[in-house]
Amino acid sequence: MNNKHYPQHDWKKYLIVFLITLGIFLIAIYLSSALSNKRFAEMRTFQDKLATDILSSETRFALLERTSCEHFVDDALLSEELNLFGERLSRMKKQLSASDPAVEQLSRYYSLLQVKDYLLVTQLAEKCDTDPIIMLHFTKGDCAACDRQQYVVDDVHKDYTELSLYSFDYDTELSAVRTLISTLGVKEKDLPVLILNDEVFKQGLSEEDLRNKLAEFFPEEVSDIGEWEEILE
Amino acid sequence: MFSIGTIGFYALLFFAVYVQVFLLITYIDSRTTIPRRKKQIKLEKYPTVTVLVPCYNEEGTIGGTVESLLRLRYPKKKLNIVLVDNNSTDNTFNIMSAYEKNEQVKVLFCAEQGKHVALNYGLEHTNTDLVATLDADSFIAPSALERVVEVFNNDKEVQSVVSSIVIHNPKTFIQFAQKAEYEMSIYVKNMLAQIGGLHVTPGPFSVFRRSIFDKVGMYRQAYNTEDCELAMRIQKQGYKIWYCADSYVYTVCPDTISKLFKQRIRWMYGFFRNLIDYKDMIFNPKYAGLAFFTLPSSIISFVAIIAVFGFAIYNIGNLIAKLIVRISAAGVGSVVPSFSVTEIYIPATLIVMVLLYVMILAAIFIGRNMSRQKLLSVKDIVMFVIMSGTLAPAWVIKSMVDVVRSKQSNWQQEKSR
Repeated sequence: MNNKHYPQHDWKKYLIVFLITLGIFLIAIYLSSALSNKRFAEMRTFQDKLATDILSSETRFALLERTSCEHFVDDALLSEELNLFGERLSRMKKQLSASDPAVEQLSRYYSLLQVKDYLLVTQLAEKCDTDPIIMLHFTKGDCAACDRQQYVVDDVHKDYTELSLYSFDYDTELSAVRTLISTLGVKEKDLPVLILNDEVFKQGLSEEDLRNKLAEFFPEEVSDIGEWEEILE
Repeated sequence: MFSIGTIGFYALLFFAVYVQVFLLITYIDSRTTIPRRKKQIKLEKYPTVTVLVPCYNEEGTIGGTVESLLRLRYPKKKLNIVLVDNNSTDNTFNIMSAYEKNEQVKVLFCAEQGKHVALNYGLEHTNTDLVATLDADSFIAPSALERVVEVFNNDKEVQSVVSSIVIHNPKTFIQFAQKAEYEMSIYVKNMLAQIGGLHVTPGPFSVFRRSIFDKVGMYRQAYNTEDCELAMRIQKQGYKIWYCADSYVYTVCPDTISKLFKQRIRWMYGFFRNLIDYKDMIFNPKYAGLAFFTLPSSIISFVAIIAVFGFAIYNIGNLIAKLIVRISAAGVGSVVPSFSVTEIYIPATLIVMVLLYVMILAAIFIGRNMSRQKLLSVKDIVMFVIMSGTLAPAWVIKSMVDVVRSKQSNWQQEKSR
């Protein structure tokens, strides 16, 4: 073979290109991580505010014996903010991964905040004789029926913003959530499970059934048709 | 931790960026040496040249092809035109014969079918210093030959010179898509030549020293991709192929999806089979860029095309399935995307992919600039992206299946209209 005329191989170039490509990846990872850290920091600030609010509510609840319920009830329910946090967390999971360590940490803390808020709301209801509408939603990953139920709950909740909704992942390795699950007697085979005040719905509810159930608690929320009927009359 | 799919995705992305960076660095290195001449050149020496035009059922274009050859800026006494009819069933032979009154033109009839047979038949009737092959659906620029000949004059080691192929008068969607692809290819091939990595001496227009056929042998059937096989053989025997960026040939490309599909399956199938035949060249240090860049990157590119296509199909399918579940569970009204700009997370892969697309766009624009095409034409780029994402995976998969089944396509069938 005669290869004296063949262009010579430039090994150095291959190496330089490798290093440049590696550099591009490292810069991209750095930029992405810097942006994500900013977002995580925002979420942590939000989370800290929620934790402070709950702690404040708990403290005020402890002082309840010395004061009247009227001072408490107006701003005790943090569910709305909690739900807002939950929605942001859910969008975060969709873009990143649920198994991302930072997302996992936020999810665990969110579950804990939910438990604390749930306990506060129920205790307040007992002491002050309030009548909150509470729905507990137990779900898990890799469960088609749970996914369907999640869509239903998300959609219905938009129309019932007064509803105190707490969603828990059955697989969460958090002792507070495990205790809640065992206290309420939720079984994996029954998932998805909805507990609307004290009524338990194993295997969840369809959108229509859930709306009908909630209409019993929130007559004003579903009175659109009634209002139109009144106007027409 | 990371799944095999994720690792594979990162590896393919790394490879894709590596290839583009490599080409870009090569371009930066060599851009001042790439010719972009506007004026006519005067050669010190005009070697004798024969242009072979193998034809099979080319009645629509052969006239234009011959006319373009007759307009070449090259001394008439030094230029022969040999038209080889490969047993056409249409009016090709009569059209060719009408040009025989011109003393430069000679018409041959080759009854045995096959492009390589027609080319070899023409070669047997050739004794000039250089031999060019020109497809009968391609039109050569008047300056193309003298510019290529200058390369031969300046570098005695060069055995073959490849030209820039530009799409002639695109009209259909599929032709515009190929226009952008060919423009990118002008840049890529130019860069491959710099590293000794050209893997094909394309049929539309390539020029050879006549003596190279005595050294390495004549054209072979080579799974109907004789131009690819010859390039591999020339380089396997240690000879040099070069690229002349400002030598232009305009070719008519397939105007329908079905014709394009047939052509690409023939190319891919031939490439795969030739690759198998010349597998000992891969990662062989004797063969420089061809061994370490062109051939390995081609293989990985095909894997990437299929992987990206599979990945896209999987994700789109997943999205549709979720959408169906959501609509059936909570109605159409539930499908209102909740989105906030302040909550966007930009993964590193997205940043790299954006950069990759910018480099691919740069490749098209550099190629466009090299081929003196209109720079600001977006339509063909959009169509190229659509074609690459939808049709290319299909013909890569089909040709791979054909390789496994040893089923090959046919040049004559493809040319039958």
